[in-house]
Amino acid sequence: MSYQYTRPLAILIEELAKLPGIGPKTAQRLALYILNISKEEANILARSIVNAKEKIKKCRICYNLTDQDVCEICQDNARQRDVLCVVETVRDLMAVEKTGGYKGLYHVLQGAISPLDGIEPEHLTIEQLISRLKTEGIKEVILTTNPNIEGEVTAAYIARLIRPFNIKTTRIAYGVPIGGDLEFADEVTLTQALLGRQVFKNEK
Amino acid sequence: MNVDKIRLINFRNFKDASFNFHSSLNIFIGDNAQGKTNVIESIYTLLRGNSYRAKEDSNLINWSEKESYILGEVSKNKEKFQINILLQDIDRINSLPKKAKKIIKVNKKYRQKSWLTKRFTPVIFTPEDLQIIKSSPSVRRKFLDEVIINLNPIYERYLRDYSRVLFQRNMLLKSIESKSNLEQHLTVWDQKIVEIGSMIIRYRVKTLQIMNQKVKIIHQLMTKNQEVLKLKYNSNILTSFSEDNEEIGNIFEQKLSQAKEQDLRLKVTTVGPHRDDYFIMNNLVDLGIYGSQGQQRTAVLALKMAELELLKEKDREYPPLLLDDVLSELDSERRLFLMKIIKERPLQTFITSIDIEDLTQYNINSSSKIFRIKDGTMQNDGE
Ligand SMILES: Nc1ncnc2c1ncn2[C@@H]1O[C@H](COP(=O)(O)OP(=O)(O)O)[C@@H](O)[C@H]1O
Ligand SMILES: [Mg+2]
Ligand SMILES: [Zn+2]
Repeated sequence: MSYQYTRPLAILIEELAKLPGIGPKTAQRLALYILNISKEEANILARSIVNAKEKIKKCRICYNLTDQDVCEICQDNARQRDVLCVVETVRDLMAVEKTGGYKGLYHVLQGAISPLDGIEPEHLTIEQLISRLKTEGIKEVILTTNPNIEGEVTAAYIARLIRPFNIKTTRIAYGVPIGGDLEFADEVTLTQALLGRQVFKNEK
Repeated sequence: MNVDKIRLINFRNFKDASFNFHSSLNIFIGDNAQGKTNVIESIYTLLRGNSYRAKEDSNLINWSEKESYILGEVSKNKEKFQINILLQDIDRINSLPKKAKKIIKVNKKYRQKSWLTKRFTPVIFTPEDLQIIKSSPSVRRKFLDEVIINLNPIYERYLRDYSRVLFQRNMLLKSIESKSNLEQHLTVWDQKIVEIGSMIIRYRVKTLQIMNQKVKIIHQLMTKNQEVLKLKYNSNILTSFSEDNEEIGNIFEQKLSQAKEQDLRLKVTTVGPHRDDYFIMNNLVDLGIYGSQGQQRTAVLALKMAELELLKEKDREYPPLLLDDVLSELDSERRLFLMKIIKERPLQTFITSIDIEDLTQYNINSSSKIFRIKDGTMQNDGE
């Protein structure tokens, strides 16, 4: 029988390998690295994981990540409070923020509609979005879901729900790399996409 | 567009062979299983980044080697391209062939396969292409879709989007079985499938229309005005064909809602362009059902020549034409017409044949080059 890692090390490797983008080889390398750092450093790493996990939660209003009840963006009174940018994930929110060209508020859907992954509209924060529209005096909603099929369908679904409110609804124009994710769009194209957004064409 | 040179290293049964091609007609002569088709395949692979017949890239590498090179020089609209393709399967000696690593360089820059496929669109005709007429609708759709992609690269994205929507809609149909409240969510997928599907139908109908003009002329030449070949889109949604996207969309939407019960029962989408077909008609009869082998062959050749003409209109010059084992399959009269069509056009052609007798009668000497292929080696009559 071949040599096996001692139990605690095997567990560490196994846990690391569960992280996205980390294969068994990288997990092994990281685990061995962690064993080599000082006990103090290891503690800081472990505690930062637990700390983040315990302290960070979703913003009560927009579902961005925050360590408070309401996130910094939602609290920021200098921002334009009657425009909502609807994104799939916090990473997409960060991508839009990085352009520096957007000064309104956000709403993070927590994904996109995808029967393949068992994600139906009920699993997203669409209901919460609609109730925000009822109470916050929003004048424009920018649907910034990803420019792929699932993102398109999610945008179309939301646009239909918004229609009765008579709120201007726009979709970012396809300046973003086609078929790609927002996250990979560079800042220039994303800024252009935001500027070039079009009023959402609803079916009759 | 021309393939000026190619060098094959460990490609199929070629250890190391260099070809300087003629800008007009190139003829590969040799007995069976000597490597004629392999040369045709290598030219195709150079231009497209993959073979039209190998299941795996690694099949192209010589059996007793771990890597293969296809090195070529191509010119298009006065521009020169030096294309180098390396296929590597370093584990193959001790194990079964796996997925080979592929490196494509054009003018010394690393490139994706799509870089090639967007620019170089050779037209190839092999005996298997008879399946376009004889086989199932999916083979016919594939041929038409590829023609459309070569003419409008954006169409590939529409096709991809369509199959994604179709897949997601089918997934939803399956989940509705256990959770019936999900049925309300079909609407948004229906909308999307109609939107993209209508576009696909429109592209196909339109392309068949313009192909028809070319097909008719070429086919009449080859049959001495005896026969008329016509392509007709056969949609499971539409009966008449307007070009209007919106109208196609309305009808599609209607058919989709009529088919809803059925779709829910079968848990697949039963209407849409993924189930469409087209008739290939000779003097108004369906060639797939009633055509003789010879008529079918002539028709496929006419389809391919029509594609060639359309690509020429797009690029302002002909793409290379690759003809594998075509001559032996046509009667002498049709062969003569084919050679005449080729000769009259500023077109680079690659053609294989078992014997040269076949060809000499078309007096092609002045504008052709003959390569004798024997057991993975090449002898050139001229040089
Ligand atoms: N990967 C490979 N390595 C070595 N030889 C190969 C490989 N693939 C095919 N061959 C050989 O190539 C020959 C077939 O060549 P082909 O071009 O199809 O013949 P033809 O001249 O009849 O068109 C066969 O002898 C076959 O064994
Ligand atoms: Mg052959
Ligand atoms: Zn917030």
